[in-house]
Amino acid sequence: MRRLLLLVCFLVLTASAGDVQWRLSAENGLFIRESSESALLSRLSGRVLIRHRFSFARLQMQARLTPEWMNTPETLSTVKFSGKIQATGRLMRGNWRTFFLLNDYYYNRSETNPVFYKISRLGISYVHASGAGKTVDVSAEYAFRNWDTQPFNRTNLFRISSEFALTLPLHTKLGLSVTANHYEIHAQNRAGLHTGWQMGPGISFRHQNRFIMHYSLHYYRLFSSLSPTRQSTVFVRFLWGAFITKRLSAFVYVDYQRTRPVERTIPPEWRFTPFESENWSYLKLEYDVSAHFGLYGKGGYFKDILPDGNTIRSGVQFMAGLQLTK
Amino acid sequence: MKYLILFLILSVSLWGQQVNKQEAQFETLQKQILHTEQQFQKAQQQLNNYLSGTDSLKKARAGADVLTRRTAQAYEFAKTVESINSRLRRLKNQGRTLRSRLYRTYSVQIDSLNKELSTHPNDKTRKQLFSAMTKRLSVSPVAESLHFNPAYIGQIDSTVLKEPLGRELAQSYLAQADSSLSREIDQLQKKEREMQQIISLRAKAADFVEEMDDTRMTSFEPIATKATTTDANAYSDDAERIGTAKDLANYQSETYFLLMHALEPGASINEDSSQMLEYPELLQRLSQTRRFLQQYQKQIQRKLQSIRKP
Repeated sequence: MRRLLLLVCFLVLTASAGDVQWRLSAENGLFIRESSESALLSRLSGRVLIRHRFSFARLQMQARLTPEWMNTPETLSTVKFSGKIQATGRLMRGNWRTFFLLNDYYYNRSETNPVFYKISRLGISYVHASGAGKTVDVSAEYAFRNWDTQPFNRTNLFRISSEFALTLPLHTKLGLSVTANHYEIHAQNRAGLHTGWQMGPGISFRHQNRFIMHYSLHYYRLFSSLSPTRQSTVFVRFLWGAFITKRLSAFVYVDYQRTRPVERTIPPEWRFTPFESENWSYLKLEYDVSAHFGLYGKGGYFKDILPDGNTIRSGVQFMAGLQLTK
Repeated sequence: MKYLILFLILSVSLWGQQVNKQEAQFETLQKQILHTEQQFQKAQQQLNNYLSGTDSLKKARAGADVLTRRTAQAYEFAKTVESINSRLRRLKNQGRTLRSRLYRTYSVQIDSLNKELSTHPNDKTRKQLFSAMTKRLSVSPVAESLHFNPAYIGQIDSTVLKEPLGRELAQSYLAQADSSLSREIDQLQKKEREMQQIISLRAKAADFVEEMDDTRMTSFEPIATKATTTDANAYSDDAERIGTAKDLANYQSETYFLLMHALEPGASINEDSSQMLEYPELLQRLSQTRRFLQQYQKQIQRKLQSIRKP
């Protein structure tokens, strides 16, 4: 809470110096799960974005607060806070970028103790223009995760990645990347550490002109200090968006992943499977009533195959809302 | 007070001299570039001729001594070509720097003259404005795509043109410039509209990805609560879910972050060898150029009307 207040004060103080944008939204809907009862869901969301330009860099600060309520027999309320500070600038024949991201999640259920989940990320990257239409992106990042409950679980993640991107005709770009993650997992009721590496190549295809399309495919191999099993994960992500008419826009988002073989030798709190087992397909339609006011409807289907390979959770969600922007 | 006025007069006078000096430098540099380009073409041609002559001698099975001498000579020619080329590159770089400096100087002049015109409209200031605009257009990157020479436009003066033929030619040239500007402005407007649409679409897509970040957390609501009570050694489905929940949270932030990086306005879009511009910056430049061309077109139309008047 103290960090939140500090960030809010900081944003308010610096707001006078830069370009300020904000967004408020309210939505209601239905969450239908196969494994449990359907629930009514209400969500509010507020975001403030401040941009400031210096002669040597651009600074961007964002704070987002999302409280939500789910009308289940146990009544669940959640508060999510996200803060981001990012600076970008030019250096030689490229752009540099550094960021700090902070996510705090607070879950409160009437029957049990509240749960805190935190994640912080600190990173730096440089995109070098190596020729007409060719770029090389190199980035390094440190992430800290904390699952603040009993027993607690903490993870340190060090990531290095590089991408070579080639601009193709018709506003498209092809990217070839390689990523290496080194992780350290601390669990309260386990002595020592679980360390390991996860690495692999990726390919992405991006188009941005009359419509937006991002498609990526990654393959990762896991090397754990605790298990000889070498897990492989294939991960597909797809985003598409376009204006159907001048005021109506549509977006589609799909996530799909598959991990094999199922890990059974490592205790659950020590496992590292950085890609979620949840597969999402989501559609959103948005209608701009005016430049600052819009209405939207969205619906999605999720299918969650748990790491045991047998348990499947699935459900659908339908939401309708309105938003104000500046 | 009188010292302040004196200081201002002195500053304006020095600034004026500085501008004239820069203009003279730019003109000299342009001449040097032209001359060096000619030298480069000539040296390149000589080298090509020499190389083709050596090829012919090789085919005619000339002696080894002759071929060695010619190869050494060709190497000297190639060194000369490279040296001229590097001088040309240096001059062009200097030209670019000076061009952008002049562009900024003229922009300041135009702003101040526009302010003056809005408070005290008069012909003298209007002429000065037109002259500054013409100069700025001459050093602007857009000048290359225009089908007229702004310097010629600047020289056309309806009060001096008395002969019907001269007036007719000037009128025709101005009309041509007017239509060329209209085409250019149309193109810029079209690009602006496209750019605005892309910016809006990217912002909406970024919002959508941000919303997805929230949506995911909802779906693991039962998992989060289980984590408070589960025995860590249990290998039940619930225990499996805890692992999933932690990893899910890790991932969701990753998805959000990677996509946001690609969608946010800060992401680079034009990674050619010279510069990496961002969409909002590019849009701003397009709008500025379009507004400037529209203003310049009005001045040309005014000039055209004054020539058409008997």
